[in-house]
Amino acid sequence: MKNETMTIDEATLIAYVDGELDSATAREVEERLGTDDIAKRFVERQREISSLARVAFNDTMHEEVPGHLKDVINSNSNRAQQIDDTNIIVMPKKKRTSGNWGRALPMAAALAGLLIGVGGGYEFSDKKHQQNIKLAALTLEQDNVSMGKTLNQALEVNLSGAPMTWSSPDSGQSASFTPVNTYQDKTGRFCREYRKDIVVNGETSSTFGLACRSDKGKWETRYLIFENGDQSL
Amino acid sequence: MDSRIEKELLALLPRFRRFALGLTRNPGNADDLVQSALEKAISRIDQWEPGTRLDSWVFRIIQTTHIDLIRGRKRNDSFLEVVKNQDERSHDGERAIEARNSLDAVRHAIFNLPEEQRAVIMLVSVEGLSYKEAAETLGIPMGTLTSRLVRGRNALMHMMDSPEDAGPGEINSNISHL
Repeated sequence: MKNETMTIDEATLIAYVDGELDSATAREVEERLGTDDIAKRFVERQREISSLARVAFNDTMHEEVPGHLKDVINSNSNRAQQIDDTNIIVMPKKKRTSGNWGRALPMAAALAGLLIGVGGGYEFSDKKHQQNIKLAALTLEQDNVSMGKTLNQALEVNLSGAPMTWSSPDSGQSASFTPVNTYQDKTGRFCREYRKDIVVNGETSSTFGLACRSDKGKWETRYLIFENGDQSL
Repeated sequence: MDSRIEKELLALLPRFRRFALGLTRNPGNADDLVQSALEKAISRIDQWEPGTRLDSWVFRIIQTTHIDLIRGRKRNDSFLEVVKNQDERSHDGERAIEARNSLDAVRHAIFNLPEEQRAVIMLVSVEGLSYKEAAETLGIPMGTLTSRLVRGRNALMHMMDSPEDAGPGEINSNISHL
């Protein structure tokens, strides 16, 4: 009965979960968590609920923004007609048959958009150009498939916090997948939140996703959150 | 208006809608809220200080507009709204409630938080603002922010751990905070 109460206050633990503590205090909390099981469970549960909360509102980020809202901004511009929507879409909505990655990666989506753009002017491009386009598309496709496999493996075998890395022999892209949290939904299915850091041309971008495990051991990504540039970790 | 600000606002629209949905708990009302808030923001865009976060600045306008709307609305309306949702849910029956996964459960729990705690949870846990940024956005002291956050997070935890308790009783007890 002695250990029924936590040795750290809830506010400190929640600030710890939110990454609001300075490193010395955070270390102190971590030490306490080693001996205080109730506090440890509290932290785990809080962390889980925060992740769920973030993901639970993600649908809105995937939806098309109603035109009348964009108009509020556009109609106040002198050059309203010149705004090109394709340049400002944060969450690509385009569905690609090759799986979730086309939608998942801003870089990949941008590249796909570029390819489609170039493809429109096919007649005007020379043969070599066409080959390059095909090659680029193929490399992207292969990268996506092989990245998907790495992600699946990371989710299947890695403990939370342990990254699994991937790099493309062709495009020079690299990525790492780190499961962050694991939980079960009410049907008993395992779902894991993960962070994906991808490096393209020396620039790293992070994505958070939630994948759930199907019966056949395949992890299907259900939600993705892009970290905005101004919100770097 | 500077075309860069415009582009940034357009790019931020999904996040404005998400925050507004958290506050209003209804997609239609959320878009109405975003629209009035954007109109206000644009009309006083010169008050935004370049170099500070544009998203937080607009979040604040969304939040104050929302509070104004609630105060303007009759108390009974919001009461009926919540009760109606509750009725619809009970029609789905026990099974539907069980099938609801953790994501629906957490959204449901957030929607059941009192107004002030919900705004804090949306900014910190969903939008990822730091405590300082969230406190500034809401125009409240840090101490108030952290106490609302702790109460809100604990309430969420209890609702998630015992969903049965988050039934009508829980909802009614929260209505008094509205």
